[in-house]
Amino acid sequence: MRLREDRALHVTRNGFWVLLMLVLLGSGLVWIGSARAGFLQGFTMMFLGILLEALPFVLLGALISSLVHLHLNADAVAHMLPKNPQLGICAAALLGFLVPVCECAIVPITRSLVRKGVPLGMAVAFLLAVPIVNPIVLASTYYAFAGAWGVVLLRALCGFLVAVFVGDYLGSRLKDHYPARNTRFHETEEWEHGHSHNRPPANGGLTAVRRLLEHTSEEFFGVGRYLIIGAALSAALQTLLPRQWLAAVGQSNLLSVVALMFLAYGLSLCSEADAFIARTFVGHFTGGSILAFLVLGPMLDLKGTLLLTDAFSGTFVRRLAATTFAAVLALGLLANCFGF
Amino acid sequence: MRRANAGALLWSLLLGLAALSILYLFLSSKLALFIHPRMEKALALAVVMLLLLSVSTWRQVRSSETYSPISWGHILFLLPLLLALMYPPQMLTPEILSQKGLFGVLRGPVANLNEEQRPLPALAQDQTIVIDDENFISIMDALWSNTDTYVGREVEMLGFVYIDPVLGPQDFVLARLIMTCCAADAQMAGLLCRYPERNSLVPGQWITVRGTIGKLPYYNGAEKTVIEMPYLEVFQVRKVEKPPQEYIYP
Repeated sequence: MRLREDRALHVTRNGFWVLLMLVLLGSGLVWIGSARAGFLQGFTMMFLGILLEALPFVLLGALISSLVHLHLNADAVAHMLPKNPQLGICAAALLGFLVPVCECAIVPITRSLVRKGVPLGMAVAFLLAVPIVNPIVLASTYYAFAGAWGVVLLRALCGFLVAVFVGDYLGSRLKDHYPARNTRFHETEEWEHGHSHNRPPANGGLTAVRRLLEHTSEEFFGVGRYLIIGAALSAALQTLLPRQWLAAVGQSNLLSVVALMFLAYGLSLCSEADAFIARTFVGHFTGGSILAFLVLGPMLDLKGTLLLTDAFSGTFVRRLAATTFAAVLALGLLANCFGF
Repeated sequence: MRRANAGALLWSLLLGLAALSILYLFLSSKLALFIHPRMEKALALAVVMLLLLSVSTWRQVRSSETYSPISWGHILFLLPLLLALMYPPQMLTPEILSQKGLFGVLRGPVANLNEEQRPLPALAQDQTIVIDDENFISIMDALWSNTDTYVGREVEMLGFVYIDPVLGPQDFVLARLIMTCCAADAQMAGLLCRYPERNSLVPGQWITVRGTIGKLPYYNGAEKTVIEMPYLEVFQVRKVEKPPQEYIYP
């Protein structure tokens, strides 16, 4: 019973913030819409564009995480994990070559892995690295930068390093913290006693497929609403932010990195598309800032943060965001000092 | 307790509606205004998945073991459907996209780090260079990196009229929009045109232009340098209908 009450409280509080954001966003849109003709038309096209582009991947993520939840046994997971934690973190960061999913799909998968007992450090490395260190994203980077292998290798290497660093750091810092949030309706009790009795009941209620679909549907309901808010915010930013302001700081070693990190976070581009946008900055922005843009975007963006707050505890998300930001900022500055 | 499961009912309807709306975009071939055509297969699978989920949720409506109330989440899912109804799909306007500054538009998708040039078709010396959807990006690229090679060549190109406030009274940009993934990453790119009768042109009008390549000094404020910029000395303008494929998809 207590569990249910906590959950009700959580939903109300979350709902309040989201409603507040929506009201602000809505009134902002109407205000701007009345001032600039065609704004809402453009906003709608970009908003729906982001949603349609992300939809297949979000559904895939919901499906995979439901599969993990229903059919992966926690004991089996414990057996597969490497005994050495550092080795495990490095291996997790390279898993993108096996599961090349982008940043929309990765959050629910990571949550169900954490619930199956995967250590936090490995889960974080997986979450951060997979959207960068995977063949599809690296191929699109190669194509966008007209075959400049240096950029591709640097992006992969930096993505890997940041993911391993943040994973290792958070893994040791948040040792006793259980970050995965319980959110979905009737499953709450089920999670609490953990492992393996998630199989369909023997009295023949649901077939495996029906159960999988029902779970996917709930997962998609949970993820989808944050996707919608994230897409709306990104589309608003995209239509409103004058790029000249950014260009003014393009040659500054520090400010250019900060500006492009801000842009990567706010625009929430798909990690398959962001290299094409990054290319247009070449020559106007420092090399380190472009690298920071390419590394931060897939790891952490507005849309992703909203998905994360739904799936994980506030403490965890704040720590994760702060550490990742700091690591990428340091990397960008370092690259600028060495004149990349 | 056998109450109808309102949350499940609404959610099932929303999933079905979403699937049908995307199906409509497919059938009316308006999907390309939102996303790159290479994403179409993935989206078709997504429609099937949405329908399956809708059916599976529908079966929960009268089951007593799960009850979900209507929540703010459901209302949120109405937002995209509502907006889609209120604003029928069309190409983005330059006003929305011009925030990159004119130089970004003219330099467009071109980056100055291409070591290898892709071979350009139909470049025999006496032939007109016809710029189409296929070769738009590579020819723009070539015009910028080897301007001298092309000076004096005749060019034919389709695009829409974009008039930037900083341009001179005879100048306009013959522009196209480029979509790499979805409408949110659309970029405008184009060729500077000089045309004495520019005032007869309406911004946004689709035209086919014939002209001769020349070069102009251009002061690049960001790098504080003067560079040579290709432009088109226009001698013929023909108004045309907008093409079936408005964007260029690299």
